[in-house]
Amino acid sequence: MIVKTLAFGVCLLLAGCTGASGQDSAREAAGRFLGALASGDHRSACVLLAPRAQESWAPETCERGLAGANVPDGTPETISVWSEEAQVKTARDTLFLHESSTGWLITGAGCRHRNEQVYDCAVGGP
Amino acid sequence: MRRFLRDNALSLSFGLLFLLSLAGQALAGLADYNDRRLSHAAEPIGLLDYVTSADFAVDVAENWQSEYLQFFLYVFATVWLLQRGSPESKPAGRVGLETDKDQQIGPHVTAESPKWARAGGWRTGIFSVSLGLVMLGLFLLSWLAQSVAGMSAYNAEQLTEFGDPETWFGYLASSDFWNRTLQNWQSEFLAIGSMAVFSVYLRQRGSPESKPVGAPHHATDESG
Repeated sequence: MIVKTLAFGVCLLLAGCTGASGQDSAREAAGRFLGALASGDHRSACVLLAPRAQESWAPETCERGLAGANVPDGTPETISVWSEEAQVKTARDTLFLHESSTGWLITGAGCRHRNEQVYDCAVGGP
Repeated sequence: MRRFLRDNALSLSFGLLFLLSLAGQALAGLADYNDRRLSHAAEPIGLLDYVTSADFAVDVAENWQSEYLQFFLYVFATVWLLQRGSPESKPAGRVGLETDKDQQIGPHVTAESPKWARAGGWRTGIFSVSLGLVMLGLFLLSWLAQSVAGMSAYNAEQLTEFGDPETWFGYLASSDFWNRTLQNWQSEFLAIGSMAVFSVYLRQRGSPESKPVGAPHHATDESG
């Protein structure tokens, strides 16, 4: 509690931290992406992908690439937002998001630990 | 006005240099930050967004904390530690807190002594260490700000690189936090140590940070 209070106070002075509204919109974007995948609506899911993640399948189309990607079903459970970056965890998956001028976009999905430091993702990548 | 400028030229000059340097840091830092964002295909940000970002805050705070640590340690260390021949040091016979007569407190106050020096008791006790306490307080606040802003910047970078974010305590134990901290501390300690030694053997005519040009190397506690 003390740490959170201190962090909030310093963040007010220094900025650089994202509040609850950032968490909600990132959670919503991840939920829409996972919902579109679960219903087979790959076109809608592709719209929610960051350009760099979409391009990772070139010359294949994004929709075809997503159809073959192993992204487990789930709903967002925990979320961590720092500046314009977010990590969303479901029961079986980890997703990464970036906030662009158009809103939160998925930069990585179907991610599993490669080692203690970083994840490898079925969709997108660093 | 002219007299005010003359009487406060040192603080005003360095205040202006500080603001110009901070503005320069903001512009150079923004260019560097946007270069790094482009490498991750992220859109560039504007100056206002950058100067209110954790990246800028941690870069500023890590330097502030080390400067205030430097002055806090120097103020306290020079009470007890000597450097023979240095104008920054006291002579051997005055090591420690010195007498009330030396410090012009108790029965030795004058009509021009500051109010809290004349008050006696806890107020004089606090006033006697107020310079060091303020430096210590500013150091701790700056270091706290560095840790919080550093954690925010570090975690954003971690997520960009598809890693896990750290808690505040986790960040305090991280190499990023200590690398930022110690790279600043070492330079401050080097500057203080070398100044104490150089001022024994070298002179700067007219500067109170130096002994008079003709003073012998072994003379301590002189300035000119």
